Amino acid sequence: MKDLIANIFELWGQCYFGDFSKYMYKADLYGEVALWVILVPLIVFFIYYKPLDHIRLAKTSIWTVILIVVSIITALVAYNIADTGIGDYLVQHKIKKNNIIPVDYFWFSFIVFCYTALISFVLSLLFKLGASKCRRIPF
Amino acid sequence: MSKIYVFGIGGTGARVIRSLTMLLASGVKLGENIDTVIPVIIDQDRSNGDLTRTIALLKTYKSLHDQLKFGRNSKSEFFKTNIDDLNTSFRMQVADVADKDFQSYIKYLNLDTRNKALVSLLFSKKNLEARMDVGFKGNPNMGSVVLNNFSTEADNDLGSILESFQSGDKIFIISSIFGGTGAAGFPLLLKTLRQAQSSQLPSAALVANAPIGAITVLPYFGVQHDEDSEINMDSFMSKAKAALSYYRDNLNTDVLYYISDKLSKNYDNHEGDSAQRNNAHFVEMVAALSIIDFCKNNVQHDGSKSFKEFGFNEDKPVVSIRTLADSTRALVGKPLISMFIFEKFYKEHLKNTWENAWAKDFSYADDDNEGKMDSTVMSHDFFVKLTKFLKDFDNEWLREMANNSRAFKPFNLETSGENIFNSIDGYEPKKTGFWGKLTSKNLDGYEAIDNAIADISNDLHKKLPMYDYFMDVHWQAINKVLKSKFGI
Repeated sequence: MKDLIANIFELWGQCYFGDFSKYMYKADLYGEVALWVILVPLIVFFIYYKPLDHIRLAKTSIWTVILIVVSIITALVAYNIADTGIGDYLVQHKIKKNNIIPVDYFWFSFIVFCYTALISFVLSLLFKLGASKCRRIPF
Repeated sequence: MSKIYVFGIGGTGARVIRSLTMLLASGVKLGENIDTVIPVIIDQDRSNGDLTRTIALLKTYKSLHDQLKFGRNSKSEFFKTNIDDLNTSFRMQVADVADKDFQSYIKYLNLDTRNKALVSLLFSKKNLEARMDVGFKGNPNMGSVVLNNFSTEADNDLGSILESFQSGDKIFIISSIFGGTGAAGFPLLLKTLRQAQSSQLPSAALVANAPIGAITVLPYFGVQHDEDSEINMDSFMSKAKAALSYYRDNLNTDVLYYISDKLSKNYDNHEGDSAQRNNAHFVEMVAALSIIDFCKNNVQHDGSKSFKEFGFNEDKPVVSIRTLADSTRALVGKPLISMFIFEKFYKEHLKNTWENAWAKDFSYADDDNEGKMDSTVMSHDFFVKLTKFLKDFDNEWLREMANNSRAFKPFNLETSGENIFNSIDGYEPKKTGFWGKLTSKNLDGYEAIDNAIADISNDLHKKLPMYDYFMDVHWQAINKVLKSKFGI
């Protein structure tokens, strides 16, 4: 499972960022990020389509804004998890030298952003089935 | 189901039929057994403004009704009652008076001296020289001669209209008593109908024994004094009294309704033609209600006669739905409010809803077109006519009644948007709160209707054709909101 989640975030080797990806894997941080990537859209879009299902929110433009905000939040959380998680790991294991560069965090966050958006979209397609006002959102 | 033949005589007849059309469009029902109205306007003045305006409205209504299917799954009451013209274009010609003055019509110049003297006693010089194609200018003595050509023979307009008369059908006659055409035409038309048995009409016996109701509109407005005009409001009361004394002994209606009001408004003095286009008046709407009352009651032609008048709760110069008596309010209150809300929603908010679920759900395909329910459908004939009708409903009919005297002003016509449910005089909507708004249980303004439409339309689009679907979701949503906000 751990390998599968790592492969997903590393796009099966296409986005392997050297030391960054290595320590993310070793520190078991991918699982935690994956949990956020699934749970945040799940909660937000469940509320959007089920208990709320509000006519004022039943607009593709509003749905798009929510999707982007959710994806940004998850990306920021992922950035923070990676930053603190890798830092702690390096301190715990007394590793002083590494080849992690700041842009690795950015690209990782961007991948998380894209996954969150994708999951949000898929969840929307599922949740809209039982909705009334939002049944045609996003289309 | 049966039909009612509504004969509107003269300008008042046309205006009452106009009000009837507005009420039927709003969803006021004629009763359990009658689903078709056949309006026939009798006016020699073919360019009369009231006549042309009413006929245009009737044609628009008919076109809208004909484009709706009203199938098993349809609940909408808007435009539900069938209005049929039986290929008459809603107008009946009694006599050919084109380009004739009264003396040529009665062949005055061919009369011998003694008959000329007799005619001169009955008709003034002005009467004799009057052109006939602009009506009778308030002279029932002229009208009674020209309109004496009513006949139920099949080669006559009246005969061909009544050919479709069946058992269970009813007849109603609208006339004013203080003008020319209506005052003269009503007793003559009634006499002709009751004597139909002597004609070759297949339905002659049915027509002669049909339940016939009528409303006689007594003076309810005045006209400006004009030296050059033959119409003088000083004679309204004396003409009304004279006609009433004749009616007392000579009418054979089953139900006769009377309506009048204080002469608190003086219109511009027009003898006829396109300039005679009076603003809608509350009395005309009440007169239209008499037709509905007549249809709802199981009237039989059994020799018993009844006479009815109209009353309301409070005698006020400005009437609202609350001021009406309980039975009248129950009849017209909700339909008028529904239509008013629909008209405002349609005019101000529909353009914002094409992206909502109810519209996205629907796609259509017919012989000529296929596509989605979006702003492009507004070019369809149905929507062009609906826009026109609703404009007439608000911009003309309601506004004219609101600005007339006595005024009928049930709505604040300037209110819109968020405050739409606060615009109904005498009705206080249930207050909205944070929780009601959050849970969509009690929203404000058009949002409440959007919300109800989303719920109602969920699977309705699979069951109805396009125009029925459009009318149905709006009718059902408005009625759902009215129930939750006002309990009506």
